[in-house]
Amino acid sequence: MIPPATFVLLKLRLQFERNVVHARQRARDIAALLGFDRQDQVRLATATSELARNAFRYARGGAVEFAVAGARPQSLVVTVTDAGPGIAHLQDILDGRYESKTGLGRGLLGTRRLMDEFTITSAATGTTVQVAKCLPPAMPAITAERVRAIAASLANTDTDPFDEVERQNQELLRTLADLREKQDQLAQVNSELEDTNRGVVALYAELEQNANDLRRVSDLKTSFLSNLSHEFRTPLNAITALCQILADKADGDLSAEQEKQLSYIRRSAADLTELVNDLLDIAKVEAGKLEVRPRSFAVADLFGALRGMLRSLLTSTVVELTFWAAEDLPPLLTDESKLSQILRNLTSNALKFTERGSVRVTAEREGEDVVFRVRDTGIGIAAKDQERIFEEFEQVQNSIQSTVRGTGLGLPLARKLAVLLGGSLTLESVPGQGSTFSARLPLHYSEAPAPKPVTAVRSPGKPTVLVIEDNPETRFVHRTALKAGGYALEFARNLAEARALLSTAAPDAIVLDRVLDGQDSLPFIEELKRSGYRGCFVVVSVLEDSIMPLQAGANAFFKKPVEPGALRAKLNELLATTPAHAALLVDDDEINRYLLREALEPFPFRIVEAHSGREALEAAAHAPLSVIFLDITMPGFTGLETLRELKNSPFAAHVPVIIHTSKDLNQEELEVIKRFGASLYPKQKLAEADSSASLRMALAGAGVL
Amino acid sequence: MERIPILRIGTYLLVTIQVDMHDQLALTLQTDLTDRIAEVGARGVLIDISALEIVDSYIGRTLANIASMARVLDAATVVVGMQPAVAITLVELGMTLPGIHTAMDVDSGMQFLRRSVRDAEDPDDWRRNSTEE
Repeated sequence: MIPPATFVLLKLRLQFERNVVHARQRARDIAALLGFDRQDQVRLATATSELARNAFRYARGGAVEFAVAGARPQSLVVTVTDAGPGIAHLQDILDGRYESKTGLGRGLLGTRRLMDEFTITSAATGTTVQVAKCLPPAMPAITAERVRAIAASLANTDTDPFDEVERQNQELLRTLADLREKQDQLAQVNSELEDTNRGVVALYAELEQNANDLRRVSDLKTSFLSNLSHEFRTPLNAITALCQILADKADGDLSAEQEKQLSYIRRSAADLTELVNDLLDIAKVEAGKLEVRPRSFAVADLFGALRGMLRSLLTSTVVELTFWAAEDLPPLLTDESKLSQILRNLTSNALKFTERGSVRVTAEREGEDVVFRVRDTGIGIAAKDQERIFEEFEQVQNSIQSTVRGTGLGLPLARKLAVLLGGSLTLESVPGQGSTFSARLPLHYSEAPAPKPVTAVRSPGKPTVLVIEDNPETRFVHRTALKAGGYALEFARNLAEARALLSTAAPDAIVLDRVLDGQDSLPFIEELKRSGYRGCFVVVSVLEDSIMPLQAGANAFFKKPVEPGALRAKLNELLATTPAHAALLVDDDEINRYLLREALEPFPFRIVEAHSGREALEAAAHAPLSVIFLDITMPGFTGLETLRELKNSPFAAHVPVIIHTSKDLNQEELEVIKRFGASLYPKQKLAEADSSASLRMALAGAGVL
Repeated sequence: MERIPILRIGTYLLVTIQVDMHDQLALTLQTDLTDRIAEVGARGVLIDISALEIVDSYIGRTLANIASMARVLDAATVVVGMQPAVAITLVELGMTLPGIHTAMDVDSGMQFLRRSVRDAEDPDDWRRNSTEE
């Protein structure tokens, strides 16, 4: 005989109180699905509720299983199992003898009454209660197929909110686990990124290092160019100046052959100088160190100067050079010297490549711009070469090129200067017909104009006499007496005022009263002598004692009242023996000192030479000076340091200083020079033909002549 | 926290149990209801269980407990709308629900409560009459 099939419909866990409610609802649903009537549905549900509660309450949870079992009539079997400690007074309860402390305890008995079958096994390891109710006889037999349908139907309606919460909780836990995993992955990615970052940082540092290296190389290049051109210029200036001396035939006549050789030397030196200057300019534009110094000027004036300058380049009469500026052209505000250089380069270039015809330089206003055009009737430039000629050292090969000289830097420099001035330089050309270079510049250079250089007030070249006298009448007498002597006069009422004056300028002579404000002034003479003052002293006093003043270091003594003529005569005598008109040449280069000495020959100076800044300071303290020529580039103390020291020294502070250098001074250096009231006389000027005139102007400008 | 609402109508409290209560919820109702009775001085409590399809021994016991406690607090309790199947099942389960009055619907439940309250107030009438003399 085949044992009757058991179909399990549903299994539920009893874990929470809520599950008890769920179990009885499921019981009712199952009963309904199996065809039990309403009363039996309630009975089954109630019985399941009692058993489930017992399991939950006394055994902390368990399980409920719904199954259909047995042969006909089949039964719905509800089995509730738990793993609790078992039921202590099971028989008493079943016999109805047990009184529950909680007042309940009717669950099991009541359940037995509600169901058709009731079996219970209880041990210390757990309790199993199985109840069954026969299916209504009218219903068809439950087959596996129907069970599946019922189970599916149950699953559809199985919406226990607690299970749902639990399910969601599980999902949350899974999500949390996923998140943790992702977090771990993120951490890993992060650490990889950090590694990469370290790499990038290292790479960046390397790049920085490279950039620094490049910057240093670039700076080196700039300073190399600047220094090199300076180094070139110094001997070039020397060559040119020496040539000039030879050409002046100061040391005897030259033979005709020698004069020709000399002219070659001079021309070569001039070419080389031009090349060096252009190179330096290019380097400076590239380094952005060329400063624009705008000022207002009329184009007509500029053209006038250019005409004079360029006339010498006109080698033949078959080329005509004309300048024309439009009438309505307002004065320009831009850097005149740079514009001049642009036009000079363009015009000389045009003249070089024009064998016959004309070179016309014009200026016209176009809106807010001024356009300079240099139009020639020369050989022209092929289209393919029109940009190339603005490259440094590019020269187009042509019939004329081999016969004319040039550095190949003129046009590139002109274009760079035009851009620097906020404009442009363009070219139109037809080979064989001529070229037109157009420089377009704004009428007003947009950058703020540079501050005007401050011209320092200089003391005149006359010998200075300081009079120290506390009596106003006597001061008036001295003033009248000495005015006729042509001295620069300074007055002090007492020693304190005298010291103040001496701290800024050392006079050539000091005339002082022996008694000032009731004090003997002789110790003051000794004090000044000790501090290095080398001027002369004339003591004037009512006291007849002439010994003590002379012992103290005075050069002469006069008893009051002083006869004006005698005082003047004595001062002149003293000032004559003290070489007041001394020029100090400070340069480490012997040739330069020689050149300057030669150049100063026509002027009434006693020449004092110093090889270094230190020597210059010593020399300044030892003899009153009229002027100091100061080189900038020297070993040890540089020219600027020397300048500062000189201006801080009481004996040289008043002496005009002329900076004499071939170095291209930068803005910072110019500022320093300006601040100390020094002026400038570049060494290049000495090499020029009119060096004597320019030197005279420089000396006059410094207030020496 | 999940709760069964308790409505107040004059001196009566009305509870309609709409959900299948789990044990803790039943216990909470018991506590809430006794608290409210004391708080408002309710004279009657009407519990509508018409929506309940299953009343097992625990819920039955809880309803009985509520009725007992209400009586101590001087309030009458009536349970209305019990479904016949539930009633039969309770009897078969051996639950007698001592001290619980039942009624078919809310109307008759209220009538019962008013009557029982009026009966309880009769001694007051007597006292008032005597003071008028």
